[in-house]
Amino acid sequence: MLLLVLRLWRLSRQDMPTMLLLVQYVSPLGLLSALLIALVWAFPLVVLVLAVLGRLLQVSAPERFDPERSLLAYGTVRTPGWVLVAAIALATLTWQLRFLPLLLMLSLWLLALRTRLRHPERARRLLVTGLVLPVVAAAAILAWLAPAVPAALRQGEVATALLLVVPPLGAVVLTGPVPRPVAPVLTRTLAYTVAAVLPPVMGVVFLRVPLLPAVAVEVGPEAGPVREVVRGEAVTVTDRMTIVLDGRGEVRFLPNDRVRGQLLCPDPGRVPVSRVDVYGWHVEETALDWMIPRQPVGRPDPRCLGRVPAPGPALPGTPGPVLPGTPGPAASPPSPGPR
Amino acid sequence: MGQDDETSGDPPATAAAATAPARRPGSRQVRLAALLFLLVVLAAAAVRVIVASGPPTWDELRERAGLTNRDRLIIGVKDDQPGVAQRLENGAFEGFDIDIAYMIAEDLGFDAPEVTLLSIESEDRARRQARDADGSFVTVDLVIASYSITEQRRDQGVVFSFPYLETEQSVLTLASNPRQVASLRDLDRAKVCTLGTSTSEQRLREAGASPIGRNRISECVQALYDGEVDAVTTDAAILAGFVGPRPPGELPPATKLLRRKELRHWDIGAESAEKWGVNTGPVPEMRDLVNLSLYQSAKGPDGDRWKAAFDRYLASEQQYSNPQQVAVGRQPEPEEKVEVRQWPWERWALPSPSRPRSGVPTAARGPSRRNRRSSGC
Repeated sequence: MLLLVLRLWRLSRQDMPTMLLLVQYVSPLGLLSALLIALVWAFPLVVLVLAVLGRLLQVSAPERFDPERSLLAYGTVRTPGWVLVAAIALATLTWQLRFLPLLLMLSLWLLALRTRLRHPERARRLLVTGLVLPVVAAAAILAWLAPAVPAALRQGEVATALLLVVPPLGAVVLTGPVPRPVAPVLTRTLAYTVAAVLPPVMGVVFLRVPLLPAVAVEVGPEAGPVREVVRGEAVTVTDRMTIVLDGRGEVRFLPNDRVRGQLLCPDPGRVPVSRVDVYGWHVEETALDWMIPRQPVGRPDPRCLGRVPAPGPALPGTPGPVLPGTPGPAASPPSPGPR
Repeated sequence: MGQDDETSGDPPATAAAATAPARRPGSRQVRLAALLFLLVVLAAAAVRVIVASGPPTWDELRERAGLTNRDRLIIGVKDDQPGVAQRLENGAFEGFDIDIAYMIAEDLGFDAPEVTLLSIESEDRARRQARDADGSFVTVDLVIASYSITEQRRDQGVVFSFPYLETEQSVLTLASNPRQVASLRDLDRAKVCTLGTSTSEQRLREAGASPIGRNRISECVQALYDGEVDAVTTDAAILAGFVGPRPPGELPPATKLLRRKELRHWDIGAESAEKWGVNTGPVPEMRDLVNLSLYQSAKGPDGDRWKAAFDRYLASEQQYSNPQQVAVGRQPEPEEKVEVRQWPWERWALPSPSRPRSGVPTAARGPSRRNRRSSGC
């Protein structure tokens, strides 16, 4: 709720009347869906990290694992297995490719710890989940990622290469307990760190999500040429007015009879920073991005840049297109001439 | 899976879990060390990739260069250099520089009708001051006016793009003049006209010639026709346009030369190359955008645009200037790689960062500009 209000507050550029206007028109359902889409990746992260930390504590120092006194232990005990499976499935779909090795590490780690707790006496099963499976999985995923790692190093993206290589190797060594005296402090510190870092990160991510459609509205007298292109976010259209929140955070009320046209400006999203891909799957794409086709971003319509469109071909004898504030048609575009 | 919560309350299980690894305390230490190492590495890497902003996108560059809400791009060009940049009687411009200007403008997001070309004089190129139709001075966005990149000009504060043409200094005399010119020293005690603020003037002094500075190269050539000077020297790509005949049917230029005579183009064996660059003004993002355009035209998939302009104007002049090379027929190598952030599909497939192909004066791009019948004026 706080996030939703903050988002509107940011959209209104901290102007109370603007915010109240937005509250009046912005649909709560739209806000909630934006919130859900933007932050869906965080749920698996929280669930898996806390589950792993809880199980690590339980395996390493069982006498300190007290669900009645420790929130971490309580959460671990109360989290049913299907929630973990759902979290892993959700993360597979919504985490960027470069974080999927990390997901693999968390999943294998969790599986090994849980097996150790549930079947401590079955040595073969412990061996499979604690060693064989991580080794096989690490080998498989590293084989799959193999072309991307040198590519990342060539591009100077050491961090990306580390994210791809280190977690699968980590899965091989992490599948057991840590020293008993350290375990409570370690798990608690990590749990608090996650709890402290994640909310601000989620807040920042959500505050940047677009809530209203970006539009360019052509404005001008009914008979004459388009005088202005208002670029902004469409708040609503009433029977008399089109209400647009322009780029400077100012609300523009445009009478409908002066609105000559309206154009949806595509939100190109964030252009990826990394140049690395794995068989055409870009490391900054989630599995969902990769599977669902998207509209390629081309050159934006000039009106989406706030430019008034050039009028149609001038009639013979009429002056050429002279736009306000320009020094005049000192040179016409190159005419090929009678070659 | 959901039932294993009971393990916490199952003493034998937990005890076994605790005792089994406890027999090997060393492995726990190793695991702790591995875990801490892993945490540090992964946290650092994750933070690094999340906050990494990378190079700017094309849109960001445009915004920082102040082009976002602009309706027009104003470019200063020469207007009296046939083949390089010449204004015709009807007010239109043509030439190699003009095609390069339209190419760069297109890459900056301006189609041909949104580009205003203004004539600029040599001495105004550093300050980017050109005269508009009313005669008042306007600061242009770019200067693309056969402007050689020199350290001295850089020191004076001119910001140059990558070079877009490489040529050299050469000499023009009347074909009737018996003087053989093989180097600048052959012009000893000769009256030689050149552009006032050009790079040629100093070399002339060093060679012992008496340089006469003019503001426009057409004035120099007119002085040569009129016998006021013995030779004209400047960049070969500029002089070559005066040597050959004007193709029949072509619109007459706005700057007309009188009493034309046959000219001869001399190779003076100049070693130092004259590299022409764009004066992009002080905003670094503008320079980056122009460099990006030149980089795309040199290395990008639609690299034929530079070549088309060269073939159309400069290559066709070569036959009249032999053995002097008009200019190097390859776009100079960009000095460095220009990075912008792009969508993956743009990197794989695309033309340049900005556009679907449209626009430029494609109609003006014939395969060859000139179809000359014979030499001599």
